[in-house]
Amino acid sequence: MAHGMKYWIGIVATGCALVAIWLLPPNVASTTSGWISFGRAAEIRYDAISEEYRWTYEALRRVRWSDSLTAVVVGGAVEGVAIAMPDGTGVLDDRVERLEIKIREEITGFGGQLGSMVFGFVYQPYDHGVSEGHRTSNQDRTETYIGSRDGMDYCLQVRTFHRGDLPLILARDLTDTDVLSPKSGVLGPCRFYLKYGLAGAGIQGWLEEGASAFAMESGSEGSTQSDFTRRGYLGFRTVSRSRGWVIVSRCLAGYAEACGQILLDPARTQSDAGHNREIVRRSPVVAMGTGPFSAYSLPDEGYMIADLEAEFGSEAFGKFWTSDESAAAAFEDAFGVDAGTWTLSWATSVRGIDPPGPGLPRSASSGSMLAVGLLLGIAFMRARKQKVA
Amino acid sequence: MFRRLLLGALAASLGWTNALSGQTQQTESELIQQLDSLRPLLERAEAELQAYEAHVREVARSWASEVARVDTVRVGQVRIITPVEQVEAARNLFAEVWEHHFASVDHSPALDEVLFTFQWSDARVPIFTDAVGPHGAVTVHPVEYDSRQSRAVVEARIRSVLALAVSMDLSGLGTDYRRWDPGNPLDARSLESAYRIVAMTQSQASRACLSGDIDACASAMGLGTATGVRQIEDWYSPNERWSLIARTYAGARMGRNSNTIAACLDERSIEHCDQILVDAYRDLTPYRSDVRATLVAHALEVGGQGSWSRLRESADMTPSEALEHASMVPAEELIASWLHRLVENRPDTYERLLPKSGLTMLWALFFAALAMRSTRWRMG
Repeated sequence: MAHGMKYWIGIVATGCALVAIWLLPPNVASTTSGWISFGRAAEIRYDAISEEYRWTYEALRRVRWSDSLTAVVVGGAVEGVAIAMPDGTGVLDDRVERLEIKIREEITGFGGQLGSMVFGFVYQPYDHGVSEGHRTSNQDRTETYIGSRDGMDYCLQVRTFHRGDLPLILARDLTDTDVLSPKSGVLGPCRFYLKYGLAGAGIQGWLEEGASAFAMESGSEGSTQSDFTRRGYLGFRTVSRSRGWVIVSRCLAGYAEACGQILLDPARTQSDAGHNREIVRRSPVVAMGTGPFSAYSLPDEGYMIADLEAEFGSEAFGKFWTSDESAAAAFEDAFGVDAGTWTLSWATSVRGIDPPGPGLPRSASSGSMLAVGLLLGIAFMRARKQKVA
Repeated sequence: MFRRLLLGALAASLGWTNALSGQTQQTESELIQQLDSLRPLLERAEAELQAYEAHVREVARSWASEVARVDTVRVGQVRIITPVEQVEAARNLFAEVWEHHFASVDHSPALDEVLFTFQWSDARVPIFTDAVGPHGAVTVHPVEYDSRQSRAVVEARIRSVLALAVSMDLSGLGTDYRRWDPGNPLDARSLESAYRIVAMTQSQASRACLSGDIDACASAMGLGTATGVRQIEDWYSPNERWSLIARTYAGARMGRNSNTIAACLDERSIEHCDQILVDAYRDLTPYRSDVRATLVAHALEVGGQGSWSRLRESADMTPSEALEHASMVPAEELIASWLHRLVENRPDTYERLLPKSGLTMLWALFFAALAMRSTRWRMG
């Protein structure tokens, strides 16, 4: 090796060593504001207690809501449907009437049974029943309540909203849009309750653990993301893999066992589950859909249960839905396939699978080779012409 | 069939309810008991936290008083706290920005409620203040950069924090004006940039506006008189209305359960598309707050000294009336002069030779020259 080259390699190595000394631990504790921050036991303690207090208080409000709202809906439903909202909100009756027509169309469209169950769509100000001195989140979302009252089963979708926004929220429900994106209807998980009745104990527990997120959307035909759209020209769009949950990456890399965990243990992949699950656990709420803000772990995962029903048919799905066994056992028993294998095939069809490992996708490497070959060909032809000349 | 149920004055019912749950649900009395036991713990934790934060503040304050020597500078109504060695720089920069962008602001009550800190140096020091305004503790807006930052960046930040502070004067304006949402006219984008937005807005009203139709400009700004479907028809052609809906639902699996959406998208029924747009309750005004802000900024400029105070006084007026009051010219005339200025500031449609293309060319030449030399990187 020439002397000059050694000299440059030496400079680079010294530079790397200096950077390593600068950046690698141990670091001096410091902040940009200039002073060291000591332990914050008081903050940690306050956060923990106030969070526990908030969850308990939110659960209490839901218990009270459930009591009063179910009384209104079950007592006031006409032909199985009730729409309720606060008085004095200035909403035109014709819009509410159109919403009811839309709801009935949706229910009859998939064969829902209104005789044995009442469906209620309730607009509730998010801060209804908040006592003085308490704070509550003003998140615009839909909560689902399931149960029986005076011998009548009910499924309630309770749309919480900021006072004054009712016309806007009602408009979104009429046009099937959520805060940022379209949605497929207003029924949410109630769609399955209205068609198959109350879920079995095992399935109900699973839904409340977070699987209701898979039941948010109604099945409808439409486009799924094609391989070409997802991967882009020559497949380079997938070179930088998404940074999300490891378990989701593993599923999207083709590992059935990881896909099974996503379906059967949904709390693992839903970041907002911590807050919502505590309220669901302590109150009559069974699902807290948060529209586009919920941490959907897989693309289109809100359709999973609808797709399951479409693929295996009503009979098998009804068996699954009413099963008292655990979700895993009920799944295998009803559909004859384990949850992981099915979820993997579902993910493959709606999104596609990226093989694991550091290599480029096959389309990217073959595309690159083709491009290099083409350029070499052009260079060769050019050189040949020059030689002849 | 239809009956709308009202929830007003709803009392807890006495009916028998059994909420379905696969998990352990708590009863109302259990939850109340739990809250009662948590409350004293929460109060104690909050008191401890407040004491801890007060202690941290005190430590920081005493440390700052030892290491920092600061002074307060006044530029008109603006008060700036800065290290003594930067007093001159702070005064010059704030004065320059104020003169260029805030000439219409004769007096701003909101400025009495704020303080600015200024540091444009690598050795920054902690700055604390106990200053109070007419309504209690003041809000502090920092302008703090290290010396590598360019003067333009620092000036932009000063303009932005001043605009934010002064715009609080308008918080008392009527809901009509606030709903119209003209952004912050004191920090409006340049007319050159606004022209790009206007030219690229997919709206028949916008195209007519650029062709000189003042009524169309007013309509595209959201200052027209039409409402409902009529307003949407003024703004967008049938094709544009259809594509507004199509863009929302593009590639989505959802939305197809609604007959209205299906009729609009699949059958291209404009009546159904219009119905969705009216229902959607979205702000569909072609020109958004970034363009509207340039109109208000223009009104302030036309109105000259005192225009800010007049805008502040127009609490109960409609947006058009407020603009007329601030600028002291009729709305039509104001919009016409805004359009004239906008077209005057139409950006060049070609890429200038300098600086970007020229620099690229210089670098390309530099690397080409290097490549033609014998390289010392050769192995062996």
